[in-house]
Amino acid sequence: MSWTFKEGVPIYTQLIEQIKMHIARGEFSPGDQIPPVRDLAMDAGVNPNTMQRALAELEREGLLYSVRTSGRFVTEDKTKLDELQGLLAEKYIEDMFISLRKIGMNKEDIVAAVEQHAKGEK
Amino acid sequence: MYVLECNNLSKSYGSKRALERIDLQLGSGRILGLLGPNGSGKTTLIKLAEGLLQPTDGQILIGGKVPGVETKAQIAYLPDREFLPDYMTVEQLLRYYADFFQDFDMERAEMMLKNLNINKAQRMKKLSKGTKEKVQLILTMSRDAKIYILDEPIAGVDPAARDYILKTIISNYSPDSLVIICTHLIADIESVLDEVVFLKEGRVVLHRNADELREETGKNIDGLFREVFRC
Amino acid sequence: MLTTLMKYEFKAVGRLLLPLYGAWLIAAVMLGLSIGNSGNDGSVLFITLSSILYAGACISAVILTAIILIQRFYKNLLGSEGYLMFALPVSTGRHIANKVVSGAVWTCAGIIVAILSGLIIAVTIEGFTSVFENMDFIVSDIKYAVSREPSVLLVIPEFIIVMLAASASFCAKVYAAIAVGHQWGNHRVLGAILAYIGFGIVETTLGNLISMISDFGVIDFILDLLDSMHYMTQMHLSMLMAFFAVAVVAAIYWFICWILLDRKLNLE
Repeated sequence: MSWTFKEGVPIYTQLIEQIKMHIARGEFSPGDQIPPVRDLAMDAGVNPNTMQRALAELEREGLLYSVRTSGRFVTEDKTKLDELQGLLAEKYIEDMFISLRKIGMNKEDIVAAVEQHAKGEK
Repeated sequence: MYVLECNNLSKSYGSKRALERIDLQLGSGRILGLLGPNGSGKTTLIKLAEGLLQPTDGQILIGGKVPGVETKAQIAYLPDREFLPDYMTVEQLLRYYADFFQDFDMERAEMMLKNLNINKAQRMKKLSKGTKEKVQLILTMSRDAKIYILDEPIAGVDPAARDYILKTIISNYSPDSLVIICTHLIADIESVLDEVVFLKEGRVVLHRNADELREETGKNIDGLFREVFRC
Repeated sequence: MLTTLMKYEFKAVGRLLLPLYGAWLIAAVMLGLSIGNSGNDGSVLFITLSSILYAGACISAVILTAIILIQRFYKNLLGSEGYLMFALPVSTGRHIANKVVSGAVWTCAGIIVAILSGLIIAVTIEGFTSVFENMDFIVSDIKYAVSREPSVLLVIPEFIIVMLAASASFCAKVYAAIAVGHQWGNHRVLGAILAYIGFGIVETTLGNLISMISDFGVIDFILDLLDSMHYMTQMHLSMLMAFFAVAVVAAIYWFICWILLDRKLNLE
């Protein structure tokens, strides 16, 4: 798994985002057990307390749930996962819009370009 | 009770003031960065905690006790220099540590040596500088100590070794122990820290949670450090 | 912990000194053989060479013993290894005790090897039987002495104890001088030498002071007291007094070491 961190943003919020990405990409499948805090922290090269905090936040959001003795699992709740996908899609689209606006395209241009691209993909 | 506590702690060398009225309370379960440029008093503070120096004024307490035989048994200390007898082999040093430190975990040490392909039969003096530093770190981190004090653990090591050192520190994390990393190379280790102390000219100028600091200032610790210590 | 500390100390010093003492004894054997077999053509050259070798072994053993014991204290406690030693859960007092005992034992070992090397030369020249042909004679003498005065047997262990105490006192003095010198930032060696000379001056002055006091009859009183005793009692008592005198001096230097290493330590 790859982890990258930007400057000046709390590491735990970055961890939350990146774990969400891992879930959305299916690197952690619904119902899967995720590795223990220490292993995840080691993999990301971050403080175990920070990782713990990020996982706790994800649990609060309902994307993870913990079973008392056996560890933490990815939710199987379809609505939660769809919601996550939707959120991420929204974020990518927003990024795309920002980039494309910078090179002088307007809303119509962008929608047209996306449709064009979608046709080409098949 | 705090794992490490300084109350109005001062240290002078002759007329030169190295630490000035330090008040610091550190709990367990943290990885703390003790950060400051050279000459800011980092090493003096560490030596006081280890009992290698006596305070001029105030006190330093380890688990509520004045540094002595009992506290030394609880601190795993990695000095910023080569400190092991170089005529001994790695294997002899393992036994040496096991003889003196009851909390030394021989299996953990042997596993780490194996992971790094270090030959136990070699004498220290035959090892390269980088390998020597790895052996020193392995001996220190193989203890189940209450406090780990690592003085410049990553200065002068290659990036692969640096990653290994950081992974070792994280994998060794325990809610019952405190890890103090003392360094001026912050960018390399800042993601591992959850608490930072800035030392400037013998005084504590900042003691905060690392993520809170990033959130408030919108900077990383390294950037903030450069700002505080700008020449 | 003291025994563990001493185990490693003896290994560290023995690794250097045992081969040296071995070489010393071998040089003694060669010298003895060369003299014993004189009469051949090359014998003069052989004797000269082996004499030089033996003399060299004697001198280097004495000098190296001193250097190694000083090095063990300086490098191990005050050099970079001090960061390991003073991080061990061992009190400063035990660190000093370890060095003083090790220093005393190795000094005595050196003296014993010196005596042994002389004995080896005699035996190799004369042959075992001729050196010990008067053995029966000696044994019967000893038996006679012991039967009359059993406590004479105590003299040998007493002598060894006094010798060990004297060596310990000497080592403590040297270590204290090094510890004093270490306080003097950039002139540590010079500081140590000056401290050693200073200790000598203080010792002499105190000695003179004591003999001045004894002019008022203290020594006479003690001598009279001794005269009134049995000669074996005199012997044991003087051994005891020698031991105490030496032990007091050792304790003073030990204390100086302790203050400097425990309270005033500042490793580089």
